[in-house]
Amino acid sequence: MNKLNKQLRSILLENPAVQIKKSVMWHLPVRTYNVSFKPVKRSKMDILMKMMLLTFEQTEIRRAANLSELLLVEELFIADLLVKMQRMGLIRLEKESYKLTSKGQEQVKTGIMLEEMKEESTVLSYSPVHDEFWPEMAEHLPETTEELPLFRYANNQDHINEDRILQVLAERENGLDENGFQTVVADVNSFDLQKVEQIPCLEFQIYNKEQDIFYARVWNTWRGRWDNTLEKQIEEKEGLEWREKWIGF
Amino acid sequence: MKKQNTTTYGCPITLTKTAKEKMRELGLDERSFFLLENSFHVYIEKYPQAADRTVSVALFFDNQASIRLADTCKGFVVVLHCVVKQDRFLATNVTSRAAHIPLQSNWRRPVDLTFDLNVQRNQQVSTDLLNLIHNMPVAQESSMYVKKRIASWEGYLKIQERSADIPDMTSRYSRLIYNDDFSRVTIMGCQLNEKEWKSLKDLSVKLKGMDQDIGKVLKANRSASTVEVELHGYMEEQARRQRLDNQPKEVTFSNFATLSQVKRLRQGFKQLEKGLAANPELERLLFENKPPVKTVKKRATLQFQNRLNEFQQEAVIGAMSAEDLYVIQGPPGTGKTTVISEICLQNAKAGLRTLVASQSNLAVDNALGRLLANKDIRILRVGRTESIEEEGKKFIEENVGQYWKDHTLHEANKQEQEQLQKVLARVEAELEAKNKAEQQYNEIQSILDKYKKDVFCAEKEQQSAQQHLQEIGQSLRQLNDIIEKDETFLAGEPDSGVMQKELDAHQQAMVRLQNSVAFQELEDEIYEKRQTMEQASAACEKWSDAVKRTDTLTVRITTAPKIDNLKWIILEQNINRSLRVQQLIAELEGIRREMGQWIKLKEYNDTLNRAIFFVEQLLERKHISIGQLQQRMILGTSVSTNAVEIDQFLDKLRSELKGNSKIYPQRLVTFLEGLYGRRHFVWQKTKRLKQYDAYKKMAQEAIRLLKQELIEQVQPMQQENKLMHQKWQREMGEQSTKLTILQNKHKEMMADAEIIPNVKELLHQKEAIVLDLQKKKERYEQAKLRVEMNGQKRVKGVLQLQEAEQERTQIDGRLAQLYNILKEKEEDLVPLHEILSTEPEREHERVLRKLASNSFTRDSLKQEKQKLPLFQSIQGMWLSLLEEASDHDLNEIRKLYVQHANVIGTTCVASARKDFIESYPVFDVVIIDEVSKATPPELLLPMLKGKKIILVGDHHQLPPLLGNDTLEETLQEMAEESEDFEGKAELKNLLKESLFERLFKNLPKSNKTMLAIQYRMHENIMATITQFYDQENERLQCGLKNSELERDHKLESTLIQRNNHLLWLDMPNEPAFFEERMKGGKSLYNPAELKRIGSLLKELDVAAAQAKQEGRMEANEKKSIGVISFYGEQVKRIDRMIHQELRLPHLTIRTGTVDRFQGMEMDVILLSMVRNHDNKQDDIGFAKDYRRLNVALSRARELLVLIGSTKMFTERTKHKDTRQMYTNVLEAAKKQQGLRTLEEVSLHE
Repeated sequence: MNKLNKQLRSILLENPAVQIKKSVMWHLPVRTYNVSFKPVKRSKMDILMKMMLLTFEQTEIRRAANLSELLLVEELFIADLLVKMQRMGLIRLEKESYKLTSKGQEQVKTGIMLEEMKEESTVLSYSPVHDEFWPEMAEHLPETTEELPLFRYANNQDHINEDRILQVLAERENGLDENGFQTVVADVNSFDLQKVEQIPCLEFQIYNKEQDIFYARVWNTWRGRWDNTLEKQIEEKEGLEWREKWIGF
Repeated sequence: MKKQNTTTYGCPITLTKTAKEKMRELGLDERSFFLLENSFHVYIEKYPQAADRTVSVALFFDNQASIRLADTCKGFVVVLHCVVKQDRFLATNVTSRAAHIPLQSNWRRPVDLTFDLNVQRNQQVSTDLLNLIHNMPVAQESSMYVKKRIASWEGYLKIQERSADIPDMTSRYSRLIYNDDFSRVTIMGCQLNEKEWKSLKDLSVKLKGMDQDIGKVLKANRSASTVEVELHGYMEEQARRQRLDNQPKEVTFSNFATLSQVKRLRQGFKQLEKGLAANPELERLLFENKPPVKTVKKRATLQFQNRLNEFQQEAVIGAMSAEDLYVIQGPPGTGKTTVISEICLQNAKAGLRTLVASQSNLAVDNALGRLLANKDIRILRVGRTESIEEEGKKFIEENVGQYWKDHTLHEANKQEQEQLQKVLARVEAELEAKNKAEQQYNEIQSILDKYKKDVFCAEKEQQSAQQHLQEIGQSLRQLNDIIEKDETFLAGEPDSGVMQKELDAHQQAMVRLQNSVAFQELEDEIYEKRQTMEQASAACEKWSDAVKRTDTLTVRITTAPKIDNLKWIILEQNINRSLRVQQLIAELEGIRREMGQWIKLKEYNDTLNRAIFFVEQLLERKHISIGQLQQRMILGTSVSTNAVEIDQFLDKLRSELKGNSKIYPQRLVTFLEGLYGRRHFVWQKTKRLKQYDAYKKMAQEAIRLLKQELIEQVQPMQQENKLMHQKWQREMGEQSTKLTILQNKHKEMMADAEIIPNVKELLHQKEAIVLDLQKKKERYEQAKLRVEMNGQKRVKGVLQLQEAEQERTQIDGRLAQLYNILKEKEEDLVPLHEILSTEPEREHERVLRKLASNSFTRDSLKQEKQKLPLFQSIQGMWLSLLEEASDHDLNEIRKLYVQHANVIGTTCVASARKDFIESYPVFDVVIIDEVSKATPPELLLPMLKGKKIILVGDHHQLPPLLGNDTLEETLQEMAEESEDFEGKAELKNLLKESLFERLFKNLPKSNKTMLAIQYRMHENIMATITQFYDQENERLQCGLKNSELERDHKLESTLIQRNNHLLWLDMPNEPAFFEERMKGGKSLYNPAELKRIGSLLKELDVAAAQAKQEGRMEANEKKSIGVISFYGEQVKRIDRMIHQELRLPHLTIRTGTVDRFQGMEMDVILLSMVRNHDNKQDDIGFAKDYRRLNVALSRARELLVLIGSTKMFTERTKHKDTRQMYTNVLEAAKKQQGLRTLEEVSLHE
């Protein structure tokens, strides 16, 4: 930790106009959730084409315009797809309406195939101060010898719900396999708070005498970067006080 | 590019030897070549006419139309150069060109030709083909036309090319230093040569080890070996992770971006030259003084999707009806984007594809973002993802699938309808309950009102009674005060008798003093009289002396014996020598002279007689007769002589007689004769004179006359002296009588007056004392009288007070009764209040509105439901499919969408990217927004692609920016750098009148319109900019129905009232408020204005907090405020102040230069004008451009505050027009009570 502190200090002080007025260390709470979810596997098929096949199976459609009205979809798209599907031999136009060919029927079957998969679980990390889910830690947390105080503007806001978790999971887990099937997270079964981790942060209160400005630099050890959210929060609340405290007004 | 249905013409042809040889060189055999196809698709290009008037053309063989041809000529196109004859084409040469170069152009005509190598004698080339060639343009000439005209645009490219040929520069560096928010980085320890340092500005920066550019050079500091770089937004994350720091410390500065941009612009020129514009008339539309637009055949009749005002409707109809070019002028806030949106929609409905282009990404995104979501419109945003704003992001290729899904889902979601119905029922029930409650409420209310009225009356009575009481009490108190005061006064004073005695004593003393004064005055008078007497007696004596003197003089004159005495007297007394006196004196002189002569002659006569006698005696002694001699002598001849000669003669005689006793008688006779002669002469002379007595008498007479004359002269003097003497004697008499009187008086007074020293002073003192005493006495008596009267009044007042108090008690009783009744009734009202405070109306209205908007869809769906019950299940399936759809599922849709996109948005320059040209070579309509902010070469790029072009802009706002400078500034800089920049004059012309302005002015009415109703600004703010549109056909109007309501800033402070919307805080034109210049820089700032803005922002923040407290603003709402300035340095300082020195939790603030704010709007705008000085040479710099002022004034919706010196801008500015323009603004502010001078301002600080 001391080593990191020194290193960051020297980086900051590379700018000769900069004075570090004060530096403090504290920890940021990050919650870790255990999430279990259910993925499904299904074939990859264009939904409009799939819908058209399904419609032709169930009812009689002769003109693109009818289908367009029914599905509230641009007629142009439907007309284009009709041509394409005929070329691929999935449908043919009979006297009254479009009908599926056998190839088409096969396609419908695989198209609606859904394979449920085993429940899976993973761990998600959430910072209430940022209201963000974070990916895995960038590097190992540095060792701290002493107990660090809590970040003075830490809050307990919690905007987590299943939809948000589903969204995060979809971004992380959804994918295509080599056979053209896609795995999709269908449901979140449960999410439980596992623990609250204390993430050390190093805060530097900085005065740039050339520009006569005060600002904060906060190194977030989890994310391995200068954290603008925390910096902004501190600056907004304390910027004026620093000025008063260190140079008067 | 024109596509035409091509006709096939027969074409006899022969080849010259050269042509045949050339053909063989290309590896072709002419016979088999022409047999490849029955007819060839060929593009004809016409050459300029030769001297012998023969026409020649080039035939370009289109490989794409023929597979066999393409196979034969791999990778090249055959070009036949032919002379056109009546009976055939004569091919004189054959060349080739690369196949990828497009053959179509506006200068070439596509035809299908069937070639015939066996030319017969009577064969003819088709007349139609000959006519077509005759009528087509000569390619070279058309190109030349474009080349010539477009030369005037070269200047723009030159500006950008100035630094374009800079080779990449690479340098080592020591470290990177970031600024506070990682928006800039300073690269330390760069090693570059002198020339390189100079050309760094604006170059893109790349670090070794990083894939992307990190940013653009902002500032290079050679002496410090540092380069300041503005980081691209996407680099912040990398910088914060310190990813930039771990690289091999090598930086490359490159000009690639600028170069490729200039290249694209040049390419645009070339394309126009080559006739590759989608509209074949484009160059003429751009360059002809009167753009040759096609006449509008028919005005479109349209159904609008947006709500449009008359001008907007006119613009849309005009744009849809125009064939080739339409120009829309849109002043600030007039709804340009709505018009663009409507045109896009109308185009989509008509099956046309539209390109929406603009100079900046932001403008493109704004325009697309406001397009209505409609299933006919498929919007696609093309460009680099990182430079596209949030509003445009949903339209980029990778997101359109999702967009389409959301939109379709929304359209298909009909369940909402049913839910709404339910809600409606509930709300309606609530409404009914409320109506009932309302009725009841009203009944009670009316009773309440009646009682309240009674209470009101009673309260009024009570109030007036109270007031009456107070009044009486007040007057009593006053009376008491007065009486008390008077009584104390009377007690403190002695009574009037004593005062009178004192007064009498003083008056007696005064009489004594007055007597003494009179006595002293008398003595003075006597003394004075004596003095006068003495003077008079002295004068008397003097005059008596004078009389005596004149008497003596008279006596002297009369007794004077001789003339000489008289003369003396005249001299002595200075008597006037009158003419008569002079005459008499002269006469006397003459008499005296003659008398003298007479005496002399007598003397000589006597002498001669004696001599004669002596000589005669001698002769007689000698006995010589002398008788004869005597005789002769009587007859006599006289000897003329004179006294001297006689004396000599006689002396001679005497000496001869003396010395010569013996004298000859003869000699004596001679002498005697001589004597006789001489005596005779004397006699003769004497005869001429009078007798002596006569003379004497004459002299006496003359003297007598002279005396008389003199006495006459003396007499008046004497008379006068006598008179004077008498006068003074009389005077003496008078004075002595007076003196006697005075002396008598004196004697009398001696008895009862005494002489007191300082008597006058004492008298004055006494007088003052007496006056004082008299006044005192008067006061005393008045007070006494007053006390008496007031005492009476007091008695009356006390009586009145008692009466009034009784009255009040009665009223109080009545009021208490009424209050009780009221309280009871109001308690009845409470439950009703609760019912009434709910507001189902609003919800009701909302639901109804939604229902109405959906009614159409609902109805049609209902019909279908009845007709095909199956549809319901299909639609349900479709909805769930849509909801579940992942990106992969939408892939096909996305492709379809992109393929059928009909509104495509991109920037001007990006529209010339190779991939874009390939995907979208031509658009039916090209709409360019913010035209005035782009340079003509930039505009040309999207224009090339449109069959119809619609330009939207406002030439009364700022022209293009180049980097951070305006065009004018850049031009100025260039002019300073090099004298011989060719395009300068042309560029200046373009600057004077932009392309947009020229087109707008010169197009016929059918091809242009101005949007004249603005919806942004409160009408009072708009008042400042109407002046800039005075020259237009339409006046700028305010479209807000109620500015006061719709543009209420809700703020109240000492400086700002609710009804203020335009303020000018005047800064004095004095040194303490003057601008200052950056050290070593050229930008200006103004510390006094900075301070003023700081305190104003604080005031606004407090006002916003108060507005929240009083419920005018929402608790979490923030006022949006823009702080802008003409000068970048001032903006920088304002920004620093806001972030470092102010805490403004109730405001959201954006800062920027006026130029950067073009296109933006804010609730409140503060404009720091900066310029303030007393330098006669200097002016107001950037601020004199009316377009800049227009932009500055037109950003605010609710409140505009100018901070600057009114004197500087309305009086000291050099140009009359500029002064007038600022005076107009000042007048507008004054008219609205919006001028705040510093006195007022400082009062509030």
